[in-house]
Amino acid sequence: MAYPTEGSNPNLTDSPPCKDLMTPPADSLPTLPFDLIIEILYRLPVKLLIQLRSVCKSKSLNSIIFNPSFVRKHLNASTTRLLHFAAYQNPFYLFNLKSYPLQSIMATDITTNFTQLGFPCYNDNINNLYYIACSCDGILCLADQYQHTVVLWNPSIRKFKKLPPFQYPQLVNTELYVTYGFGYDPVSDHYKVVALYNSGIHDDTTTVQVLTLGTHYWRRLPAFPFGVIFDDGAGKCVCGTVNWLAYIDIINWLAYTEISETRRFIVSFDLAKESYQKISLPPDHRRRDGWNIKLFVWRDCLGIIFDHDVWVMETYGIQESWVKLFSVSFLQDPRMSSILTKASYICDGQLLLELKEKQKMKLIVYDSKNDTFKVTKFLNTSEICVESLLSPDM
Amino acid sequence: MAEEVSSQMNSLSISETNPSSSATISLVSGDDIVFKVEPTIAKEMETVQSFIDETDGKITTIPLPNISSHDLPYVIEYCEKSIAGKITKEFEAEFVKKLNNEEVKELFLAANYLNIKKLLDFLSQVIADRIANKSVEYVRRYFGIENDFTPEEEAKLREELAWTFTGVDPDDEDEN
Repeated sequence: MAYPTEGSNPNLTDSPPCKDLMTPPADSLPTLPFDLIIEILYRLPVKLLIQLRSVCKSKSLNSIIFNPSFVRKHLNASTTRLLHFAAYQNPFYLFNLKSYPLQSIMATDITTNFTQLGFPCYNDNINNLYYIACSCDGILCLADQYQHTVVLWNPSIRKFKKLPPFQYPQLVNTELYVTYGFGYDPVSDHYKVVALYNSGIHDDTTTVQVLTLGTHYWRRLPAFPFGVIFDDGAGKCVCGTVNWLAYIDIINWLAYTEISETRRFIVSFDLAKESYQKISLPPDHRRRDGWNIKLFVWRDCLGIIFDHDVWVMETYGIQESWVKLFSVSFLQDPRMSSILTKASYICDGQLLLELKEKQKMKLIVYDSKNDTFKVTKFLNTSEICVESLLSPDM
Repeated sequence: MAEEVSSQMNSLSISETNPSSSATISLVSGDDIVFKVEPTIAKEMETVQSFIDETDGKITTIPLPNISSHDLPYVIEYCEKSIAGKITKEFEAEFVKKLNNEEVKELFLAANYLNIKKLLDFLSQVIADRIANKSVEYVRRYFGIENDFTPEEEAKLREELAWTFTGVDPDDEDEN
């Protein structure tokens, strides 16, 4: 059957439905025009697309698949999300990444249906302790606990980039507290990695360094104008900003027996302007003194779990738009002695809550629609991340 | 399907005698079968509508030489549902259930030719889902792309991409 890509219909060639058709080379007879093939391609899973590089040479699918506009189109359409776990496994104590489809979160058998990968840059795997600090658009940001080396890695396309080291003070008796953020700046169309550090309880400044992907150096930015980070979680990316929980004066905090809640707030870092903004916590936080407080991303909004209440900032940056969505009953249970260490949005009003009790982790799927929860089989901190073709080596 | 269309054609030809209703549009398939549709259906098909507009509505018979009488009823059915706002997941699943991969491809090309965005989007997804676990050879054949690698080049690339070649379904036997 002939189709109009050849312009064979004299009645209708004035307004061909398909503009900018790539003319196929004379020696091949495609049954589908190339721009239609692209319409299909961007809906395919990453692994298959990589595999399709071997379809042909001349109309290199290679160049299409890694073309930035295709990568972005694919990312925007991507609904495949993965549940990653990084661990050092005995007996060799080697880094190991297990990635499950997010749908497997409630699986009863977690010994199958995952992809397992070793550390991307092998030589680095000695005397280091990497963990998944954060992730963005399919790229995991791995950070080393000791040397603070950062490796960006997209396990779906098996590409990584080891970032140059950033400068930090070599401390003798105190530990350096390092936190990260990794996000996309839609204004400049760049990804940026942010590293923050503070040298423990006697240091009331937070030093900030940023690296723009595509460059090979860290830039030191003005220190946090307010407070220090108190949460060990990485920054949460919302609307071109990265957000951390901060505390105003950690020395005073130690002197207080009861915490003055007004001193807790969110520091927002605008990735485009590289400026800071202070965001207040939800309105009724003053009555709270608990430490179950975690930021997370609820759909595209900044969310916070405060003791057992879940709040969402409906319009980013507008204090009045904090809305209390629901309360998590089981977090109110006085018998519960575990600490909330992380919260992630799954889908359909479900949250993945990570709880720690005596060094043991529990991952719980909480369903806000009916206030119920289920304990998963997973026992390790997780990172939920979309699958993408994005290369960390930009 | 054929019966539905003919009964619909009868009802449409009756309405033709009604002076208050606007003229129906005749779509002529590649194999010379005439399908009479309401102007609202034609509106869904941008290619047809722009042709009507260009001739100030004087011409109401539109030849569609690239679309067969097998495919056109499906297109019309989808457009009718679309106008009625009745495109549901259930309808879509039922719609493509009986179509094999080659038929889906033909319909996809028809949707592109007629420039029906919704149908095109839907069928892109159907094709993507259907080829998601197929072999490279199948995809090559399905897209009509010629393999221009030398056997050595292909073997080398396959080795490099070996990790992606897991979980591939056997190719359909009925399609080649």
